[in-house]
Amino acid sequence: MNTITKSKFTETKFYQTLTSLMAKNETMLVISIVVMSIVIGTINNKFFAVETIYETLLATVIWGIVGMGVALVMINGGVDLSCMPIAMFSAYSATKIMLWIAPNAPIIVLFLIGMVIGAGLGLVNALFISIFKIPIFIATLALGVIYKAVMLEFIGNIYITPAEMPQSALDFSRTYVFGGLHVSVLIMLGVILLTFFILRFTVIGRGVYALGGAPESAERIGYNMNRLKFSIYIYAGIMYAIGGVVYVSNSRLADPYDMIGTELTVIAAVVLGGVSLMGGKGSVWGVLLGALLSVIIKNNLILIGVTSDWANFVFGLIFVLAVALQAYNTARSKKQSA
Amino acid sequence: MSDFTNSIKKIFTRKNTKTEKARKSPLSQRNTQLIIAIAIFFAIMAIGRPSTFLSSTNVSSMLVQIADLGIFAMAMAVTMIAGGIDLSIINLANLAAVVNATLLKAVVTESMSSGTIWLLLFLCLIISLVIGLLGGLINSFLIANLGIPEILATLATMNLYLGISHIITGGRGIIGFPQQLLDIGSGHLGFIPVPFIIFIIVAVVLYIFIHRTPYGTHVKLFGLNQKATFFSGINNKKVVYKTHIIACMSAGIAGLLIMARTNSATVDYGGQMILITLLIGVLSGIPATGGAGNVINIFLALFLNQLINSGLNILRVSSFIREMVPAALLIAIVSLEYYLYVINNRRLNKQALEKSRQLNGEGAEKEAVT
Repeated sequence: MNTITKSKFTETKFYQTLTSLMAKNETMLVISIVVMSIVIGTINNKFFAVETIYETLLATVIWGIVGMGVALVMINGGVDLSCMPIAMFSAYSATKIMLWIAPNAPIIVLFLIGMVIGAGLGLVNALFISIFKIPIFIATLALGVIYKAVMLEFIGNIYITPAEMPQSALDFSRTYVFGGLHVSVLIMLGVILLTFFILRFTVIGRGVYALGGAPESAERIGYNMNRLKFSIYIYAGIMYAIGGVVYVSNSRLADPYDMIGTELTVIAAVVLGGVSLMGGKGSVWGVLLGALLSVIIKNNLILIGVTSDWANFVFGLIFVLAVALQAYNTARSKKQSA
Repeated sequence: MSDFTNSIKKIFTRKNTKTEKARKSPLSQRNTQLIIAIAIFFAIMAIGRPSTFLSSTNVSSMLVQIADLGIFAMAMAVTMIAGGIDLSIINLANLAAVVNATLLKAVVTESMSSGTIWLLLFLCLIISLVIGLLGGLINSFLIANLGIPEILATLATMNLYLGISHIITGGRGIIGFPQQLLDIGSGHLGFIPVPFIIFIIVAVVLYIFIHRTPYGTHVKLFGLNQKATFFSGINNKKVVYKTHIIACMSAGIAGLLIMARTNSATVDYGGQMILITLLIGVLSGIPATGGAGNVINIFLALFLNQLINSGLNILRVSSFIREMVPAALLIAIVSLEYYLYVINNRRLNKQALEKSRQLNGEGAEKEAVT
């Protein structure tokens, strides 16, 4: 008798954990990544080689780092279209400043200059969004255009060639660890861990979710709305800047026209990662998995037999499906709780 | 046009009655502000550069430039009044253009008579409208039935429509259309260019929709407060569907117009236009959160935007700065509007507080007497 109840108990618990796991967005993502990998792996047996995995991770780096900032803004309840202009602005001007002041300084200086500039631009975003209450989408769309124009007009519109790039950036692009893993993957993991800890274990981090889920309640518990918003946008600006500097160093080329215009790819990856635009929901691991999935899909479309003409359509379709799936999940969980 | 004439009347006849309406000075009315701004810009330009600015070629080219931007602005404005946004209109217009272009390329031959080509062009118009209808249905299905936020839904479909156009053309532009279509794009009816007339027709239809039908009232109320409209028995889903179908069908017409005007159909025409349409909507006095709007004001805002644009052109400002101006204006206007709103609110609060204090004070005195 005792054993029967015990077995039933484990059964139910196992069942419960299974269902709760299945309901999680991350599980769905892991499953789809595995399925995609198996499909691609059967077509191309090189896909499971260590080098390919490392390469895929390296391609994910930019989307993962920038995605952290975009995810924070989206948890706050808005789409940030100024992510790539901020990334490029900070990276390009940081490179220029470093070449001008100290061309031989270590790579950390480049990162620091970029992060300061990124934080400044994030501050401008926060100013208009929290003080003047401009809707996030309109503010970031317009400010993104302004950042781009200011960069091209006042900072420069000629790309910096690999020969002119700072030596430390060139060295950075050739730094590998663990037999072929690029060092920027570690930076991405570090950034994601940092964001995870901030969101999970700090008062501000809990405030981000509270602000996105129910702004009025968050205010009544005693959160300072403006301070919270400023910290979100400044942190997001720093993330974009890190992403931009990593991108510029890795491509060994600072082209001010580059990157800008790929905002939607990041936003799609973040949405795919389960961050809800209704606010208050989303995890950093989801964003990482979403970025990974979109990179795998993007890099291997041609392998599966999708021509480049269809790539845009497939991307759009995935975007629409991700958004629709998320809306469906939200509706279902609402029904369950009601 | 009653608002327009009213505003002009208001400028000249200032009544000093004590009713609430008359106390609002005409200067605080958006259409008066726009007319004054247009007059100032026009005067500066006409005095500064009379030879280039007032030439008939410049005026007619300005009218042509207004046409397709105007249709997009109207489409965006309808969704903005409903408190939303539709980012997919430009790509939908390009999709309509690309589909029609491929069709015309495939069907039209040298030996065709002019009559059949006109018939084909009419068919193209219907195809554009159908594409608009389908696009609107997809958008509003995602928004109304699945409950996806409008920004995200239309951002996604924007990519989808771009992808479909890419499949059709392979990313290349299509050029070279029958002369009849180009005649629409470059023709004049008297002094006025034909594209402008088409824009006026679209604008009039939208005017009727927004100002003369129950739908117009519904869409404004919907923009103000969706819960209130839901509980007052307005079918919210229907409002969303109508709004997006109207916007997307106008976009379809705009696609055909772009084709006629530029003699080409490309997948990525007008990348910067979304921002400018938003700017025109905000300039015309649609609040960033929706709920109000006026077609006449949109019309005036379009003119103002065009004047600013040609002013920048004549001043030979660098292209980067020219790209930045609409964005900066957008930010400035929305910020200013919020600031004025806060100040006004503060004033009203103060008044209310004083009034209540007076009443309470009187009450206290009376109580003391009794």
